[in-house]
Amino acid sequence: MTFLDNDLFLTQLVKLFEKTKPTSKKKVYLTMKRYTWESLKTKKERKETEKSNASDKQSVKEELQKEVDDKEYSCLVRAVYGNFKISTLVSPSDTDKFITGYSNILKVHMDSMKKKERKKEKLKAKKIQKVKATIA
Amino acid sequence: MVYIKEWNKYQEAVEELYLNSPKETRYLTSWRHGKLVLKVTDNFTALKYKTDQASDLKKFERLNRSMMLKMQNRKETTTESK
Repeated sequence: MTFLDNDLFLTQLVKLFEKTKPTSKKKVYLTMKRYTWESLKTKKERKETEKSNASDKQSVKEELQKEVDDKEYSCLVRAVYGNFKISTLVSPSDTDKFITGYSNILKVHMDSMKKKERKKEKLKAKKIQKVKATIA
Repeated sequence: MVYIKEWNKYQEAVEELYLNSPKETRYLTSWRHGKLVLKVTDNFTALKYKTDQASDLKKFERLNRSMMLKMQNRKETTTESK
């Protein structure tokens, strides 16, 4: 599966949500995880350097710990609806831009959730007042 | 697999779980017309939260943002300043 770039992913995500229907039993799945994949080559290289430094285990461990603490990762985002699957990598520098767009899309398409009861009651009260006013 | 009912507790638990095993933990969302289910798992524990309230959407957005920053290993301060 190839990764789309961030903007393309967002436009495709909109399309994905447009495909959904209230009556359908299919769900939209969104996944987020740290992207830690490395090619076999770099994996091998990493393991070899680890081995060669094995005599000095303590320092290696400390270095590794440091790396884990400091390193910034890309974030893998995946969206699935039935057969329609899209994914993208979000690099740290693009995060703010991406997440704003992402949040907006979710907000727009997840509008079928229940509003708070209180607001409904207020609306009802207002309507009743209006009706009363027109009668009077 | 446990559903946690209170959002604050859920968020705390999720963040703790993530910091304990950042390499394994993944964050899933499933949505079906009006029903939103969040799930965070590291293959040993799964934390879930279910909602149909529109008022939870904002919290959900905030969690998305904070989870993404955690996954990229960025400092929390960047989120708070915004």
